[in-house]
Amino acid sequence: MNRLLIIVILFGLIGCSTIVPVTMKFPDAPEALLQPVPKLKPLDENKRELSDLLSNVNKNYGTYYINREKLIAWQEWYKSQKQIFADVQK
Amino acid sequence: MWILHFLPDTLLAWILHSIFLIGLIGTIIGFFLKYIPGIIQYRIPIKIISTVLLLSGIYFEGSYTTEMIWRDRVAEVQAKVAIAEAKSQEVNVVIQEKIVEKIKVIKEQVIVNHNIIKTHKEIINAECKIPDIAFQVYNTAVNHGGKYE
Repeated sequence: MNRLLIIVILFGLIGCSTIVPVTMKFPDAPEALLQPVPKLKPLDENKRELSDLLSNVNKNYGTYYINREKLIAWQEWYKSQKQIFADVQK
Repeated sequence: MWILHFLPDTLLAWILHSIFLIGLIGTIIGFFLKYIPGIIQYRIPIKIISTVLLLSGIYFEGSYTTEMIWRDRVAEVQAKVAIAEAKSQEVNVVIQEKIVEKIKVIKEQVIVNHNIIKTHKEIINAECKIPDIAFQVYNTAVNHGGKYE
């Protein structure tokens, strides 16, 4: 009788492995953030006047601000996606 | 346990509960068979079959419970993933709209500045011409001496 009880208990302890068929797709990033990053432009060899320099600086600052905003957007995207992922894990 | 996926929940539960109950009842009855004169010779086979059914029943009950827990958990996670993917898409739309608007504003400001420079070109250039060394230093700063790609 004791042997029977041991066998019954052992059977009850046997676990089953089950593969959970749920996968989460890696999120896509916004299209605007996937565009190539523009480089700063050097001053043209033939343009030596102060207005040319100012014009070039103006364009380069524009490029800088665009890249800055893209970086901020990437950070925001990452934080948001991380939060969403963490909510799924709860 | 993959074969369990092909059976409906209720049918599966009904079969497993039946095996367990038959085994349990048979095992209990097996203890009292010695007091019943007519079927005493079947006592051992009945006890063996009942014990096998009881053990199988316990095993399958455990498997079934685990299976049901996993099915519920999978359904729960699938629902969460669907919500998360929708949220992720919403976040992307918001960020996309925001960045497009900001880039537009920056480009507009660049054009405004460019027009001011163009309008006041004579005044700006009146008292200054860029020396070669300033030109070189500026371009080195812009492209990091050609080392930055």
